[in-house]
Amino acid sequence: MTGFLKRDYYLISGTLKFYVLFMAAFIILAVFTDFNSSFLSLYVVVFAMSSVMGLFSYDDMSRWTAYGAAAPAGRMAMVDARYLLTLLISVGISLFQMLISLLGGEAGDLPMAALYGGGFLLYAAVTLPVCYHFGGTKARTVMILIVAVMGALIGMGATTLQLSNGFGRVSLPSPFLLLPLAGIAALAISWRVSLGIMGRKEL
Amino acid sequence: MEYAMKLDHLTKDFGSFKLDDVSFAIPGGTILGLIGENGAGKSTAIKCLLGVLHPTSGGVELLEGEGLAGVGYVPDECPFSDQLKVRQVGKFCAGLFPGWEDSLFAHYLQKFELPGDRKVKELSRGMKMKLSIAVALSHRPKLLVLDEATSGLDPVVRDEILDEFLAFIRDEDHAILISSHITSDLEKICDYVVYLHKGRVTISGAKDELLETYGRLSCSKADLARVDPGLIVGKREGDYGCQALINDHAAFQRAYPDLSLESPTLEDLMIFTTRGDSLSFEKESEQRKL
Repeated sequence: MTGFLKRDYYLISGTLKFYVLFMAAFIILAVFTDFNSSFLSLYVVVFAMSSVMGLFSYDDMSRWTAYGAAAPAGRMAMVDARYLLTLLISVGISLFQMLISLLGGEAGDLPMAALYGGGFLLYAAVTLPVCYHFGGTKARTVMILIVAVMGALIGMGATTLQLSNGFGRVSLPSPFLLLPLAGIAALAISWRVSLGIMGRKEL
Repeated sequence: MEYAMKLDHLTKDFGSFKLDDVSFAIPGGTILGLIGENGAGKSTAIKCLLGVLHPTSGGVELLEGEGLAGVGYVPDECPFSDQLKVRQVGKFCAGLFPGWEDSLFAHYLQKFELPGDRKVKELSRGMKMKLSIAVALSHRPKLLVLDEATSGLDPVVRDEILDEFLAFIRDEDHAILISSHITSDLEKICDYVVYLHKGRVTISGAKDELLETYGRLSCSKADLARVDPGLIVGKREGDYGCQALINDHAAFQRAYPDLSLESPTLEDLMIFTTRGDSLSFEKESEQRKL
């Protein structure tokens, strides 16, 4: 499994420099404006989402899936590695949010970190089986629909909680701390579904 | 005799195409060439062998006790993403294949003149194929499976790669399954040949025996007309002469001592067998018209 994990890391790290440059520009801008950690964290979440989806496109382009499935560890280890990477990215997102909100002197950093980390896990729990089923290219179209629905739901939730103004500066209610747990549970179900899809799939 | 792999009545039904009841085996220390036109089922057979496709029926036996760990697979296209560096490919492959040796990979990179710091997208097609072969060889496999690995390469690179395969096969525990429609390559290196045509095994056996059993006839139309149709696999008739593939060299020479046969090539076996199909079709059509 480590081989699959390393490959995914190398592919993501290839675009990392580009994203880090963008982030540095935003941080410099933040010095001259009113600092809001959520903007940066949201950026990291979007980067993480597109990176995970991008891995499936890389797989398609180089016909990697069939090759990886013919390796001794096989297709199941390939799925395991991608889910482990997703989990690690989610932890990274939460830690990043906590760090920058601490640096920015914002209150309520823990629920906000839970929101971003858990939200990413929920997104990945939906995305990964879709990608395994449709492949990277087709899955993009399907995900546009899913993201639109998820966006509408999040928007409704934010309005209900009156978070739309000054998102990131308010203290989120403590139930948000449970979001990562919900995300992990969803990811576990998603992992089983993806294993089933890949087990049956003709590559 | 110990076999490196065995396909036993393998069938894979896609609906529009069927790999039908395919059986063959590769004895240790030999090279088996899988030939056939595009879409004949060569890649399907290989993918079933590697577990990439699930067979509809039949079985696959692979390197007893080792399974896929003892197989080095080289697909027709380089499976490594363009964004990766050659050195990175070696690093993650070390985690994919038990028995991986970094020093062996470094040896092949040097031998094939592949720079470690170059990205895959910067490599030519020949270099990409060499990278795939270097990866396949660096975990010391016993069976090399090559799916159209020499297609699209220039003759110099192809020759270099074929030499590498011959070096690999010097060990009697090793075996190679190579599929290609470039039959001249296979003629150089193969011990056994399996010809797949429309998903079925049409011809199989030891290459030298096959080339001795079959014969290529070049003669006039009148001469061809008197040859027993049962001896003709396929024929090509022109205004200035005819050519035919004969399925029994010895029987033909006994029956027609005045006509001489040449040794056929694997390409002859492929072309005339395909033409034989159209010949049967023409005969059926004519009979229907009558």
